[in-house]
Amino acid sequence: MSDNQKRILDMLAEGKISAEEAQKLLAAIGSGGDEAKSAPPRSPKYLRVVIQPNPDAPENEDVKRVNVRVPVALIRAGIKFTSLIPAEASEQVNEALKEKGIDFDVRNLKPEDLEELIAALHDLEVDVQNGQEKVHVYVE
Amino acid sequence: MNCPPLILRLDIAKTEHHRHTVFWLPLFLAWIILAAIFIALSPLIILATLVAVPFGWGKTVLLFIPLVCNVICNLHGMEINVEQKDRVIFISFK
Repeated sequence: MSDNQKRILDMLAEGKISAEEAQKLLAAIGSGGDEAKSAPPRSPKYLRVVIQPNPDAPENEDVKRVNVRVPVALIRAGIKFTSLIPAEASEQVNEALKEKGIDFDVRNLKPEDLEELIAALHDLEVDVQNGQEKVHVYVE
Repeated sequence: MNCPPLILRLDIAKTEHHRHTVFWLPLFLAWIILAAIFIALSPLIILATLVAVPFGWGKTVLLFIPLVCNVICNLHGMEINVEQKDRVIFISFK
């Protein structure tokens, strides 16, 4: 029993509300909870990468505007390629990543982790600004 | 598995000359040709897989084509738009 349900029953016991009002309140709580439970979490469909000129930077005509929409399913399919990397090559990949400052073992990337990673993308939003450009990465 | 993109739309616009070119490339023709090539080469692929097994590359050779197909099928909806001072290029997989 939830706190709200207890509170309604307490109010009914104390005579602050009628049985009919209590029934209505309980029904309202029940339907609200059911809606919240039944609403499936919206999974991200696309990863959007937008590169624009930095508005604070002096105007430079050579700066490109790039707008890329990548289907999340494509990322999923791409990550599955890691299963093809032979053990020796995985070590080389790990070393190359370490040289770039990324301490990550590609052999640890499992399909179940992948789904979790994609679900977590929903909260992702990256904004990077350098001298000339502004990069915005988000999912939609 | 999703349906692979059937059409590639390529827009090239030159703002300087007010020229706008749109290409609709029939990707489905490429998939038909690739499928025919794959069927023709399948005995060789099986042979290559058998040869690669003792070297530990058997799984790689065997799974490479299905995974490439998976990537192609999921290209649907991909869009790339690049704008420079006098040129705009837009690529879309439909």
